[in-house]
Amino acid sequence: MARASATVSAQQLDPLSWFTGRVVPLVFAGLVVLYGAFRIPTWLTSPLPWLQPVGVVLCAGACVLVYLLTRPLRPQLGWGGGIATVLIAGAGVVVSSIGYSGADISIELWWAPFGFALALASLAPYLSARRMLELGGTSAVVVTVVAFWLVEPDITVWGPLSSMVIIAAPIVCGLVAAVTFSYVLVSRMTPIIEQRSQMVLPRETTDAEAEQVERLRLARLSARAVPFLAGIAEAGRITPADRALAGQLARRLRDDLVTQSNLTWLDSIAKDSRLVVIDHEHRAARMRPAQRVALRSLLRAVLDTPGADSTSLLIELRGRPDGATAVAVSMDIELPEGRRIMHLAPYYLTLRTAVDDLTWDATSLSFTSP
Amino acid sequence: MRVRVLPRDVASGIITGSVASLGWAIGAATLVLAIPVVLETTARAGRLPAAWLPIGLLLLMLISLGFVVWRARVWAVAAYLVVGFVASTTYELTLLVALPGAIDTQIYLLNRPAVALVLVGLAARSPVAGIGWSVLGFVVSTASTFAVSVLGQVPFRPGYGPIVVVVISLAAYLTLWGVQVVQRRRIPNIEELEAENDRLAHGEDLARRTTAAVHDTLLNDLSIVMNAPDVLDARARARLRQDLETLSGAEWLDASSQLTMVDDQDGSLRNDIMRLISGFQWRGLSVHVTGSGDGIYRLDPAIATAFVDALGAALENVLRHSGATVAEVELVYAPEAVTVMVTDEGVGFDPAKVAHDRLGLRASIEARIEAVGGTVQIWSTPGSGTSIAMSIPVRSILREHDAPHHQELG
Repeated sequence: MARASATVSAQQLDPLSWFTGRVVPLVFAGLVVLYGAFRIPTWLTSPLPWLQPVGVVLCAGACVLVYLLTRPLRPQLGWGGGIATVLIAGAGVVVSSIGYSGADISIELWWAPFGFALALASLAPYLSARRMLELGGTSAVVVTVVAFWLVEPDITVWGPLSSMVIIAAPIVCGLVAAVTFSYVLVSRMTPIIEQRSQMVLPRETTDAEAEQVERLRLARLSARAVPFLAGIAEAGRITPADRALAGQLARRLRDDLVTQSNLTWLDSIAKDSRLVVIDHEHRAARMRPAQRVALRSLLRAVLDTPGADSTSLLIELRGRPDGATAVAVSMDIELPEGRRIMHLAPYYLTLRTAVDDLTWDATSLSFTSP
Repeated sequence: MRVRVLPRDVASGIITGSVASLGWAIGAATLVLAIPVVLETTARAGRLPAAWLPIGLLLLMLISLGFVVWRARVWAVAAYLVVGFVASTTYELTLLVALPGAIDTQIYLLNRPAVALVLVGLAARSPVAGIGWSVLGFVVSTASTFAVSVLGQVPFRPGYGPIVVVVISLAAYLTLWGVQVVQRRRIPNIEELEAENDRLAHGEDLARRTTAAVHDTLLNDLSIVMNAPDVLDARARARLRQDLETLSGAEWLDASSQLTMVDDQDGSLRNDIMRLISGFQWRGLSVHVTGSGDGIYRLDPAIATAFVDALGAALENVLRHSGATVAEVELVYAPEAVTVMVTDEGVGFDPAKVAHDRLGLRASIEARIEAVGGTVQIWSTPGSGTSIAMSIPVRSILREHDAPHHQELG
């Protein structure tokens, strides 16, 4: 358990929370800019004052990069994204250090280590605790040493050890915060998500409306046959015309019953919309309730999407040699990509928890139902 | 909930609680990092012996913080704030005696404990509670600095540290609050969708019943008409009448007929139990859950409700009366019953002397479980902890356990 808690990220475990929670890096970027701007008076005391806004932009940019790299449907943030983030934020600290080199500044109020710490913290939901520790720890040491080397000769108030600690303190705190957050969250969530429940509860459903609908269907099915059979039972005699009519009624009735028994839950959605279902092998009936719920919510969301051509929504199910069902969904949505993704991503993420091999591009989606 | 999506309220509670945890960690890091700064600064001023009391106070705050993390209860947080106020005030006053100029140039050194006090957003399970704790911590921190200015006859200078920390804390909790509001609006309501799914399944079930009934009656009767002799005998006529009666009655479509769906992936009870345990964990009781086997057992909803409520009452007893900080919850599955064993190593008690007004034990545990056909057994001795075993009946087994339980337990 402890190992799993350190190797899984909060986003991997609970993607739905971080779909909406991805504004956090943007808030951190705002805090970097705010704190950097608060220290503007010190910019002017440095020999190269223009380097400070450049540094602020780099540190805030690192947070924005995390925001961009964690857009819904993008691959999981990995080493590459993490390294790029710390490199950009680290460059911000170095640029600021060069700017303040030769100036007597209050390092305890220096914005750059604070900015770097926030950039590190913005990675917390997307990297595992271990990866955060490895990446953050290494970068924290490098950034602190470089900043100390560039700035320390001009510090008079503090001794060298204190200067080093004061520069490192915000970075260490940011790192500790990120690692703690990731570890605590994953270790608390994992048992709830991973452990399969061994106790299940039956759910009993009644639906008077559905029963009424079914009564009407029964009345429609039997509208001609019932009076006909009642007449035969009453008369007790069968004429050749009766036999011909019985054959005709039986054929129709059989067709109706076959059509009804071939309908699946997907067809019931298609009945109320213009969804086209291709499911010759009746694979939809094999899908588990969780898969049905997730897929149906996605289809509903597509059908409700403004700008979606509901006539273009097509779903095809095919059996595979290993017994699984391959599902392909194609759609035609005119929404800009960003809005489309934001609208459909929660449903996509929900579906991802219930099926295998889920892929999605601009107009189609496919997955396997095990 | 069968989809492997965490219930939103549970996820929100865990995320908020994790933010509170990182506050503890930053507070501890701040206190630890202050130690070398105190040592070097006093040494440079030639006042190294004056460093030991402030360092001792930093360690006292660290120990208090550790205690709060261990107990994680409101009274522990309040105690931490009181101890922190005294330690922070004494720390600043001691350092000001040794380093009188620090109030002008080294406020960073002086306000480290005050910064740690702001990071006391403990036990916060909602962003609003987190904001409340952060503001309270900031108030105590500011009060400490004010006390220093009065007692030490120095200007009131809290420094930027506590303000920066409280601003970040508020920004974090407000962002979290905003995220949770957006989430409630945008994330699909899985439970609603499941209910709709159930309704659709009910409709499909009714359609299946109708199809079967029409096939067995009308279609067969029409076939009889096609193939029977010109004159029907009394038996054939009676069958036609009976079939028509069956169709006109259509009892299989009665509103009272329920469709019972059992899904072996159902995790609603598991989620309820974990929600309950998570709540106790944030109140300072570590709950270790273990279970064995891979069988799937179906329970009655009423029994399951009694089970969760009784488990909650048992854990409440551990938290309130045992003095223990850890409880073990072991689930044992057998074909006829599921047993949950709640064990603690607390102060224990004599079950024979349990007062009649101890509702927690009698009404909330024994009466609940016995009312649904279960049994409760309690083992406890003063000074040796308590074990409560609650067994509830299983309605049916959906999947057999692969190996006998005694083999696994042995």
